[in-house]
Amino acid sequence: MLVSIYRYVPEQDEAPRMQDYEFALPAERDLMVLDVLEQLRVEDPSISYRRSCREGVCGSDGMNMNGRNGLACKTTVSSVVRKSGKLVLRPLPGLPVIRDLVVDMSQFYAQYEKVDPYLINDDEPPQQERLQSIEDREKLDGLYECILCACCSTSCPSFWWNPEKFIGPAGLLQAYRFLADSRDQATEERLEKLGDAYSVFRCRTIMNCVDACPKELNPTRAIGKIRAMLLDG
Amino acid sequence: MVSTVSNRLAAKRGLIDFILQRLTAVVLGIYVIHLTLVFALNGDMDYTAWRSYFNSGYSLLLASLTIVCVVLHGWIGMWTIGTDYLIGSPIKRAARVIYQLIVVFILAAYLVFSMMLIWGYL
Repeated sequence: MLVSIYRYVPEQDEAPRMQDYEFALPAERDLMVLDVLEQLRVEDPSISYRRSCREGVCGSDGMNMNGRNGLACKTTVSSVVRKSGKLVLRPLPGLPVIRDLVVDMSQFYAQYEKVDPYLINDDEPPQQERLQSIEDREKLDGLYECILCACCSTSCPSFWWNPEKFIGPAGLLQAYRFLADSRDQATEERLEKLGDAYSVFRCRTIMNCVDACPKELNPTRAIGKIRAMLLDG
Repeated sequence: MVSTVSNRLAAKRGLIDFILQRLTAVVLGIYVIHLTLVFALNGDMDYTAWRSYFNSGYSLLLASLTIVCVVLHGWIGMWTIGTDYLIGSPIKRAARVIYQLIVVFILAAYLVFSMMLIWGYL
């Protein structure tokens, strides 16, 4: 199998290039894309990418594989290569490249920070924990599981065009995670920050984020619920 | 005072645009259906019937409302396109100013001439 990897070291290279490697796929089992990268790195230690847990929990190895964003550690080679016989690996689109497949996530985290991603509750903390009913707790399912891998936001054209102003699907999923939390007391303040022309309303509901999310979450639905709360407000 | 009001409006701009875009779309939809029905039910309209329809009070009001809605809907959509694609470099931002001026000119001309036309000033 041919593996084509985006190579770019901004301090050394004039322009990015694609470097091709031959890779012998084992016949008996399907590898993950991360396995391929790990084996190629033995041959060429200069290939750079992020990785940590290798099981879809840390969100470090988000990248673009044959045109689709995902986590290299939980994406099988067969699911992306199909009939083309070629694996093309590029960094997550829209973010500045630090080196090869490693991108600068500062812009992504800056948007995440904007939504105050923590519980705001001014009541005296109870001795053990703030309790919720089972029904209230269920409202957080499909929201709290986000691992901030940035696969969704970097597949969103609105985020590519206005990364300083549009919060992006990952940040908005987290915004709704706290808006939906029965223990949070800052609903009004949170919504006040989201009514401008960019933060939420740049979403054009094209659902690339839903397609890209490796945790099978639905940021578009969360954005729709935030809009509904703004309309009710 | 003025800056407080404009800041408050800016903070709600997305919500206001979102509501306006949908309300105006509903009005445009109603007008298209209405006009289709008028023509379908009066297939053999002659000049007198045509003139009488377009001179009736409700027709003038509905057409005027529709024209205003086209302008509002058009501005929100075109402003969004401009602020998506024409961003970043000074050249692109200058191009956006020119683009927005052209859009405003076309929409204003459309508003004025359409109103003059249907209210009989042309």
